[in-house]
Amino acid sequence: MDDVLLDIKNLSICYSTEDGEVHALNNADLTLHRGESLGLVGETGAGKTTLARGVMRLIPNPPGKVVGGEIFYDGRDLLKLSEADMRRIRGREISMIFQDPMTSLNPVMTVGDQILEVINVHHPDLPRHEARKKAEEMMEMVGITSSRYEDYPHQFSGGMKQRVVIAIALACSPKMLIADEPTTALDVTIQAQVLEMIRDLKEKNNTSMLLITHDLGVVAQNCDRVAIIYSGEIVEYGTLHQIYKETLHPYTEGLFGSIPNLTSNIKRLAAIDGMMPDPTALPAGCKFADRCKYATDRCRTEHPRLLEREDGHKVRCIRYESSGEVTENG
Amino acid sequence: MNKKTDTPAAGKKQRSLWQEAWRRFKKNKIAMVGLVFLLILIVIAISTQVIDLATHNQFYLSHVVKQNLKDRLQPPSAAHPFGLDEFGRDMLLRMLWGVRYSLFMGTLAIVVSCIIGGVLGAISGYYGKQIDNVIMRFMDILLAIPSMLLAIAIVAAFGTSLTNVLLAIAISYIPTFARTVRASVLTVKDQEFIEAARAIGCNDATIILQYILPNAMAPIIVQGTLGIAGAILSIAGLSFLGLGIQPPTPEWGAMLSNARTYIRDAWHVTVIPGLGIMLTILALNLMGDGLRDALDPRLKN
Amino acid sequence: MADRGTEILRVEHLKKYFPVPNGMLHAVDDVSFTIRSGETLGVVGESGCGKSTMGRAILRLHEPTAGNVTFEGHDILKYDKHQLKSLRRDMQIIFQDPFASLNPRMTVSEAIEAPLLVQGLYSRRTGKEALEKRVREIMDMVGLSNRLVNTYPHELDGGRRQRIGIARALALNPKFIVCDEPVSALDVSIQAQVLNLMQDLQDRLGLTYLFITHNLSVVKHISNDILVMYLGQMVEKAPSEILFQKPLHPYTKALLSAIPIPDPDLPMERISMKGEITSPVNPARGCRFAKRCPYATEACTSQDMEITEQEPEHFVTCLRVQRGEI
Repeated sequence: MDDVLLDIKNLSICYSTEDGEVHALNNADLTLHRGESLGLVGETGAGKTTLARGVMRLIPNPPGKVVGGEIFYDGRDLLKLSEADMRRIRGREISMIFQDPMTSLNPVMTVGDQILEVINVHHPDLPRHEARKKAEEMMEMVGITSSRYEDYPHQFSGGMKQRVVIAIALACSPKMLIADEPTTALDVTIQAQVLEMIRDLKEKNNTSMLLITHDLGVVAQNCDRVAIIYSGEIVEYGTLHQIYKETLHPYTEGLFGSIPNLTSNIKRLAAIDGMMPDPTALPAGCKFADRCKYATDRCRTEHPRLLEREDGHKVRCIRYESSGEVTENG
Repeated sequence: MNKKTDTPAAGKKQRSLWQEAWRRFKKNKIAMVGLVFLLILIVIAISTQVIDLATHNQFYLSHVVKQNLKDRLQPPSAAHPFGLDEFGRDMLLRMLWGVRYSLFMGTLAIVVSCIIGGVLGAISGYYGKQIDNVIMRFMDILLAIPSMLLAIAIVAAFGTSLTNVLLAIAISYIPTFARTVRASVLTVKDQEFIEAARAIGCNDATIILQYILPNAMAPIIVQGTLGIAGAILSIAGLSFLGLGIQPPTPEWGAMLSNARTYIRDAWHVTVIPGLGIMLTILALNLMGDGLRDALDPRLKN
Repeated sequence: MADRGTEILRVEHLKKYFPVPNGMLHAVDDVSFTIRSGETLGVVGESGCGKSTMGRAILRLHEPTAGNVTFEGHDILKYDKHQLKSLRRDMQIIFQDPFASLNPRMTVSEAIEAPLLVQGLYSRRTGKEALEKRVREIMDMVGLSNRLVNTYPHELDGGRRQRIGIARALALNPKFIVCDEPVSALDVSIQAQVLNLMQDLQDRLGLTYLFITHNLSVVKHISNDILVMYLGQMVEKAPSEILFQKPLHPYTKALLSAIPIPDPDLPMERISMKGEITSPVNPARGCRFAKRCPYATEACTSQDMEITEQEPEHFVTCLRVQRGEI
C-alpha cells in the first residue's frame, strides 16, 4: 500500500532494571496512513510512550534496548539509519509533542527564539530575518500574537505553553506528528481549544498524527483509527467506528465499561477487576487473561495471535479465532 | 513493627526504604571500601581502649608514650614496621592508639552539633516566620566567622583541653546542620502526607518526630558523614598548631606537628600520620558520597 | 427529589484569601451550600478555581478567612484545638495523590493504625490485638489483601495506595469525607474500581461525600448535587441531572460543551471562550467570568454577584440569568 506512512512491525523494546527485564513493548504492529490520525490508547505502563520514543529512536540506552522489529517510515527502516540521518528526520519529518508543556520548554530562552532554533537547525541557510519571520508566522498560526516573541515561558499559561510546544513541533512542517498525551496536563476547556487547533493545523498541512492518550473521549473526537495497547501488546486495531461500535477485545470492552457515561445513567461502573501484569514477569498466555471474564484455560497457556478480519479490524483474542471471517496475521 | 498475625508474606520482598538504600549502597564498591576501612578503624579504636582498661594504662605508659631516645628516628624495620619517632617510640603503636582520638572526637563533635543544629533547624523549618528569621540570622552570624578562627578563639580563651577542642569544633559545625535540616524539613513539610497527618488529628510534636524527621534523615546522614571528616581534619589542624591535644598523647595531628622538624632526616615520622589522616578522611568522604547516592530519593523508581 | 436525608453540613459565605507578594489571592470567595446526610455533593472546576482550598477550609486544614461552617448544628469554626481533634473523627479527607499522601516510612498497617492511635481509640501496649483486628477489618472493607500489612507504599501501585488512603479516612468511622480528586491520578480501569468502592462504602456506612474533581463525567456519575466553581466563585449549583440537562450559567455551558464524548457519532459542539482569564489576585468586583463571557454586560462587573435560587434546588450567580435575559 502506497498510502502507508509509518509501518511498525514486530517492535519489541526492553528495559533492564534491578528488578529484572521489563518487557515494555512486545511485537507491536502498527500502521499509520498518510494524512490520518491514529489514536494509541492504553493505561500507565502499557508501553505507549515507549512506542513513541522507539519511533523517534529516543529510547535511553542503557537501560532501554530495541530487541527486535522494524519501523518503516516512508519505506525506510528507521532502525537501520545512522544517527546523523535520524537527526535529520527528527523535527523535520517526524515531530513530537510531549505531555508536560511546563518542562518541555527552555526557561531561559524566549519562546520566539525556541521556535527559531528549530527552524535554524533544519534550514541552516535560511537568512536570520526570514527565519524569524517564519517563527513569527508559526506563533500566529497557533494563536499567539507575534508581539509575544520576546516573552519567556514563565509568562505563559499552561495552554499557551502547549501552543508554543506545538508551534515548535510544526515549525518544519513535518509529515508526521507524535503527540504524547498533549492535553493531559490541561484543563478541559483549554484541552478543547488545543485539540481543535491541532486538528485544523493537521488538515491544513496534511500531517499524519499518532495521538497517544488514555482518554477515549479525546480519541473519538480527533482520530480516524484506533489502536488499543495493553501490557506492551496491541490488542485491538481498527477504524473509529470498529473500535467504538463493534468492540471485539474484552479489554477494550472493559475500558468502555469503566468510564462514567455522560449520556446515560448507570449506577455502577462495569470495572475491570485486578491490574496489569508485572512487566518483569509477564504471563505465558494472554496478558489480559487474569482480568478477563471470558478467559478459559487455553487463554492462560496459549499466547493469542493478532487476527485480522476482512474489514481490516484486528484483534488479539482467541475467541475470534474460530469465526470464519478472520484471517491470520503475524 | 513485626506482626506475625498476618498470613504468610506474598513472596514479594518487603523492604523499607532504609533496606533499599542499604542494598543500593552495597552495590557501590568504592563506598564499601570506605566503609570497611572505617570499620577496621573502629575495631582498632575499641581494642586499644580495651587494652588500656585491662592493663590499667600500663601498656600505654610503657609502650606508647615511654621515650627511648637512643633509638630515635629509626626507619621502618621488621621489628618496627612503621619505624620509631623522634623520641624512639614505636610509630605503629602510636598510630593505632591515635585512631580513637581522631575518630571518637570527630564523631562526638559532629553528634553534638548535629543534635543542636538539628533541633534549631527543625524548629526553624517547621514553624517558619519570625522564629525562622531569628534562628537563621544567628546561624548566618556564626557562619560568617571562619570556623578555624572560631575554634582557635575558643581554645585560646578557655585553654587547651579535650573538651574545649570538642566544643570549638561542635559550635563551628552547628550552622551547617541547622541549614541542612531546615532545608529538608521545608521540602518534606509541604508534602501531602503531612497534611494527611494533620487531618487525623496529629499534633506538632508527632508530626515532626514521626512524619518529618524520618523523611528528612537522608541528607542529615550524608552531611554527618562528611562532617566527621571535616571535624577530624580540624582536630588535627588544631593539634598541629599546638592548640589541640598535647603531647605525648598520640594524636595524629600532634604527631605530625612534632615530627615536622625531622622531615629531612626521617620521612616516616611525618608521612605516616599524614597518610593516616588522609586515608581516614578519604574513607569518610567515599562513604558519604556512597550514602548520598544510595539515599537520594530521585534515584528511587 | 422527595425523601432526602437531613442536612449535615452547611457552609455560608465561606472565604479563604492567601497573602501573595502583590496582594490577596482570593482562592475561595463567598461560597455557600448545604449537603444532606448520605449524599454526595460534587465540586467541579478547572485547576486553580479554589475547589481543593475550599475542601481544606471546611476541614480547617486551612483556616477560613471568613464565613460559617456548621456541621451537625455546631459552628466548627469556633472549635478550639481540643474540639477540633475530636472533630477529625467525624470529618475526614481522601487526598488526590496516593504517592504523596502516604508517609513513605510507614508500612500499610502503621498508616492505618495512625489515626486510631492518635485519637486514643486503641493502644499499642494494652490493646494490640484489638488494634490489629480493627486494621484487618478496615483493610477488608477497602479490598486490601491482608498479606499487605507489612508492605511499604512504594511497593504498591496507585490503585492500592489510594485504597490505603481511603482506609485511613474510614478508620475513625467518620460521617463526612472530603474527597479531593481521589481518582484523578488513577488509570481508567483502576478509577472505576475505586469509584465503585467509594459508592459501596457510602451505601453501607451512610457516608456523606464532598467530591472534588475536574472530571465532569466522574462527578456526574457519583454526585447527587453538583457545584461549579470558577476562580474562587461559586457559579452554579444544581442536582446533577438538571445541571447536565439544563445548565444556566454561561461558564457551565461552555465547560460542559468542552468534554470530549467517547462516541464518534456524537460530535462536540464546543462553545468557544475568548479573552483572558481574570487574575484571582485582588480581583475587581463582580463576575470573574465576565471577561470571557459572550453575554457579559457592563453591569456584570460593576456590582457584586449574588446567589439566587433560580428554580427549586437550582442556584446560579449569573446576573443576566437572574434578570431573565439569557
